[in-house]
Amino acid sequence: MSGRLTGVYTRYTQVSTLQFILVLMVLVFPTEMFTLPAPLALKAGLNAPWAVLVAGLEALLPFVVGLWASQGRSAVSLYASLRLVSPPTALLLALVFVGCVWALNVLVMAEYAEIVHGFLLPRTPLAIPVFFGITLVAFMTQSTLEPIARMTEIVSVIGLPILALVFLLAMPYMDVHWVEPIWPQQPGLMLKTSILPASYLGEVVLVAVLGSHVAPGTRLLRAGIIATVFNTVILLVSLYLPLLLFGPVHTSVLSSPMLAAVRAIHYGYVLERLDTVVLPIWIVLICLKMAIVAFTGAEALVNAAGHRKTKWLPSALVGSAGIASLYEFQSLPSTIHVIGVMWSQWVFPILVVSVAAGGLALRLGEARSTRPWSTAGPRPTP
Amino acid sequence: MISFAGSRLRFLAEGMAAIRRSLGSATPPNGAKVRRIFPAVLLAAGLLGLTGCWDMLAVEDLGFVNLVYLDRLPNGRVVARIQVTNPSSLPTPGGGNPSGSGGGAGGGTSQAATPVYQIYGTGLNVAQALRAADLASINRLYTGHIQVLLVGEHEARTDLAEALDFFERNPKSRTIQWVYIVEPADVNRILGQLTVPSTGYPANAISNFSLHMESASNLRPVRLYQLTDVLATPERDVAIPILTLTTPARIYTIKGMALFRGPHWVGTLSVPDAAGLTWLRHQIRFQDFTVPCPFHPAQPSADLTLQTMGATLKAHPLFNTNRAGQRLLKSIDVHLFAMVRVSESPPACPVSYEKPRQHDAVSQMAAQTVLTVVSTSIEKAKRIGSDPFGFGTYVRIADPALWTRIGPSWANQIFPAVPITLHVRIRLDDTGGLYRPL
Repeated sequence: MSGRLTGVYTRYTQVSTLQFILVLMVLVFPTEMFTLPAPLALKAGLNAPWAVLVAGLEALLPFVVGLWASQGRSAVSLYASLRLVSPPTALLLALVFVGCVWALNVLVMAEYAEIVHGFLLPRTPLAIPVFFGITLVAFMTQSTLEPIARMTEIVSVIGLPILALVFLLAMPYMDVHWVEPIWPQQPGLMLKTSILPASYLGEVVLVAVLGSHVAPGTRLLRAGIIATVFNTVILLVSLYLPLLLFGPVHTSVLSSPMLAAVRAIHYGYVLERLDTVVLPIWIVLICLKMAIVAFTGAEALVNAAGHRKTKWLPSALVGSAGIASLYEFQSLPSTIHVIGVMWSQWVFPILVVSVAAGGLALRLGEARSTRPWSTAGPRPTP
Repeated sequence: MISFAGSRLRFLAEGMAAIRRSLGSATPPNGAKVRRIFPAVLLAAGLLGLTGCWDMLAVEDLGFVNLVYLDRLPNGRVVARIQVTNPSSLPTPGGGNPSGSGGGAGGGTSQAATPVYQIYGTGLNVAQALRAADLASINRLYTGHIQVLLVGEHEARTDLAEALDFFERNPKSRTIQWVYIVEPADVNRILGQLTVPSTGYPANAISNFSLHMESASNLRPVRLYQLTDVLATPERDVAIPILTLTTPARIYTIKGMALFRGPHWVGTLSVPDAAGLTWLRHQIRFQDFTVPCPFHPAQPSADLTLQTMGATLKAHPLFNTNRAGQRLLKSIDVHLFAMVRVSESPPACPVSYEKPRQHDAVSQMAAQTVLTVVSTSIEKAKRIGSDPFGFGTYVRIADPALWTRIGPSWANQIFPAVPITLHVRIRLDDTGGLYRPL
């Protein structure tokens, strides 16, 4: 039985622990850093940073659900295992999963296009950045996860220090009085608001499929915790940066507070307009995110269908998501609003529940099975 | 077929061979060739985006705006006067200039052309006025290099936020441009000066002046992004320097600080009265101030000059409760601590800094001077009904619930009535400079 899976998991698809952590990070932070600060400041004011911290803890739950569903094993995805138990169930749940990640890609594509359209190319029709986004992501998803992970590694090495540098460069212009009082004033509001960042940080639930590409022996739980901690820290930095520069009131009315903060950084005549440095890196990062999400969706579907390769499926997912994104949204604030409502209140819960249902079905099937079986089959030589 | 092998252009042959290898020209199977070419086509398609698509800007067609003056006419229309870099005045590699006039060996600028030319437009709002100016210009106006934004009195009194909103929203313009208020009497003189010796065009001169003032003056110029956040909240008010041009020297200087309540200019602090602003806004840094000599306080020639090295400010709002159990703001306790060094100690003031009593006498005299300066600023601002110091922030931090109640009426009702107690402590630091210059 395990032989049917061996063709899917070749050594070329394996990613290292560090790459896996970075993949989980890139899955989350490119979107959270630009779109979350404004709605968080609007909803919770100075309670927002605490809401993010709480969300960091809450986000571990979807990750654990994803891990539990895939039995915490590397090399095997949830849907590949589930197919061995019940192919129709696997296909049905995989379709729900693909629907959710497709919706996520629509939202991410819209956000990417809106920011490029709003800050870089305001006169260019939205379709143009979407077209280039689709092209780039289609290029990235030509093979397996491993090249995407390699690209993630390279871009993260450049992108994360630049984010830290931006924060350091902005320090002389910060006013700590904007973020005082530090302690949360309304715990109820803080907990209520934490649902929004938790739905972003909880995108690591895709570990149910992504985990199949990790080298055997990797401690997935530890990797997930590290990635979530870093994602939480990056979100805190992205939130505190505009809060310290502009205060909560002004931050809440900015379409992209992080970019506004980057635009305000200046050192004499030498260093100005850092947004022209930050935006290109962000564009690559968000395209990487779309590639990871599309690849995960495609992988879930082919695993459930029993095929061996994803082929053109990720490109098709991204392409259709890109076209849908053109018809879905009107402006960046509306996109952010839709993300806040649609993603956090509908799509994300459905995604987590579908993954949990898959895990449950797998456990039940395993319990009812009379013959011994294993999903961790022998690995082929490359 | 051309062959470069064996020639100096061999590297071309090697390069072409490498490209052939990467594209798999060694007759691979059809599918493999497509697989190799497809990414290359995708990447090449991506390069098309570098043209800028619909946002493509040809540098020859652009008029680089470097200064904008905005004001409101009596009929309610907004007028925009714009200074645009004059390309014909720019030096060319050959030393001449495109217009053919002026210049010479060793480079230079046109003798005839001024570094900037001016255009103007009017409209119902800022966007319309700028659009009208754009249409009146030969070149397409580019706002990405605006260095200075001047706001006229009428616009500042009507709605400053309107003047700033356009520039904050515009993705091309920088939010770090300097913002100044210009009084009607100074408008024509400031905008009429199109050439500034040594610095070239006026916006550059004002920008240089602002950077200098930022580091060495008691009157701090402000940038656009420093205003928009303050305008969004009632806990502190905006203070913008008023720019003028001295006569006959025609040098840029600040004639006072315009105090705002919300987006409206409501009063002005003169230069001496405005000195307390920097002390209370955490902006004091390497600024000189004079202190009467402790032994000859009435003799101006004996005044000491001190330089601030750093300062800290702590403000504690004090509250009490009324009979109904409602919390009320009683007063605000302000503790200001500054470290200073002696910049100049004239012989007319014979201070022996090594003697603790004389040392302390100078410190106390400095503290008294700062106390007077700061108190004056606070009292004047109270009378105007504007809180550019940000005392409202301290109240909000100390009691957010109370702030939600009193915040809307803070600047015009609560702040003018709240007693503010100042405590100033000065430490003479940098002892190496206390005795004699090095």
